[in-house]
Amino acid sequence: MEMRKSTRTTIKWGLYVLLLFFLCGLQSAPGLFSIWGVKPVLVIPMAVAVAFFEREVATGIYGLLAGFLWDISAGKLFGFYGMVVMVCCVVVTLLTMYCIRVNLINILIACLTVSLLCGLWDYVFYNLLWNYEGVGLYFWKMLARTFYTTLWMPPIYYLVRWITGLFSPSVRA
Amino acid sequence: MREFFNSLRFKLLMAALAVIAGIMLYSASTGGLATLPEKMLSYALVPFQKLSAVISDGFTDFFSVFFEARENYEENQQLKEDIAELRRQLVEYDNAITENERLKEILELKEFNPDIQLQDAGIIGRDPSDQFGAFTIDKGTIHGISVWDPVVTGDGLVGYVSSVGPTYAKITTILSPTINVGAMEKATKTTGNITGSIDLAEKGLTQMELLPRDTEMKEGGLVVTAGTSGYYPSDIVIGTVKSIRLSDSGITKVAEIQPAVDITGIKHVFVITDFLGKQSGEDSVRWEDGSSQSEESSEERKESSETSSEDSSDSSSSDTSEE
Repeated sequence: MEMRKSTRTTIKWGLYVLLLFFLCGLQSAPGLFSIWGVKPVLVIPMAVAVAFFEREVATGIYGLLAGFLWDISAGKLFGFYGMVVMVCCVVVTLLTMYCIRVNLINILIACLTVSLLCGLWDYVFYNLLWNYEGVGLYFWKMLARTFYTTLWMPPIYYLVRWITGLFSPSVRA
Repeated sequence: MREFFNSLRFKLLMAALAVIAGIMLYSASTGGLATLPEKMLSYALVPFQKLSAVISDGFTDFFSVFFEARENYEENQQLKEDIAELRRQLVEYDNAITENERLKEILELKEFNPDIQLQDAGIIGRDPSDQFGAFTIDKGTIHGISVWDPVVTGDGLVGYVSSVGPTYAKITTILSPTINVGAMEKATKTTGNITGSIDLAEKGLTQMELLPRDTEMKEGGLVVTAGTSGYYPSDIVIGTVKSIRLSDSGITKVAEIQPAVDITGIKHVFVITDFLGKQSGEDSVRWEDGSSQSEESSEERKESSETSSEDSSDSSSSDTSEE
């Protein structure tokens, strides 16, 4: 029996949300995936991957949720990352809809850019403005985290693509 | 894309951004207190974080063996070196404790005899055929030890040095019949001579002989060296009176003495190399009454007695001839 579209959509987004919670838990697990003290931010690739396949309002809300979860696990002001991730996801969706193709290179560039913007957002408002000592060192560590996060994009992208293909009649390509 | 910015969707997103900005301002104004959306999301996030922590612990425990093998190896080597160092320190600690105890013994000895010079020594050998507890120590002439030097512990008199080499010495104990030590019972001031016997040595006892028949010594009395001979310092504890009986001759009494020192159980001793009033060891063993007895002296007396007997026979023959 074929599922109704609304049911498929509900299940799909349910899976997206569950996956987002799971990846947020993974990114905050002590010591997991840590290389020389640098850990990836897994919610960013997930939000960006969803942004490539869904519409702008939905991805905006999804990006907002991803940012909120990151705020909670990072102990930042609630909404700090939510705002920037939401805006980035909407921009990525619009670019995907009107300007760029959905391929691995564009996905990696998008993830890198979003991750860098979030990192700079944090660097400026939580470190540079307060003139902390060693702020330069934090900048380089932020860059390392950005690149490490981008490395996680391909597997998460293909997972989201597979979920989308299961529950959507067509996949944006 | 232009129609997106004119659409309702864009306005909804702008509204959402404004709401988010308001939530941020409210959160900042409350000094970090969690807002309602934050609390609700955290309730949902915490189980996932716990699950991830469990996965993380299992993952890191499994792979840490491989990733941290080099560090574990180096830490293992360092810990081995630390253990070896601690073991060495433990040996030094044990030695320090032993030395401390021995120094305490020296201190106790010096409290009663401040003029004595002591050389500590370890017992390195006991002859299994000897029934009087004789033993060999690890110090000799190069350490200032000479024959006739008294040997003591913190508890009391052990014996004397009967023969000595450069790095060793043989000790005859107070259980031996060859020893003669001038002694005095502290309470009654009764003097006598400490010497051993085979039957008493079996029981670990020695005896104090030549006691006056009317002595008032009692069991439990403390016996110490008299110090009049010059071979032993005074007031070195010898033992306690165990029993008193009449000697075989019936003229004097003999007391069985329980030595203060466990002669057969000791591991370390002190040799008194010098003390105030020490006599030379070249002379014979002197008893407290001033008489002396030794192989040399007995031979000399024998020669002198023979000489005197020859003289007397010559004089008698000459007298006879004169007559």
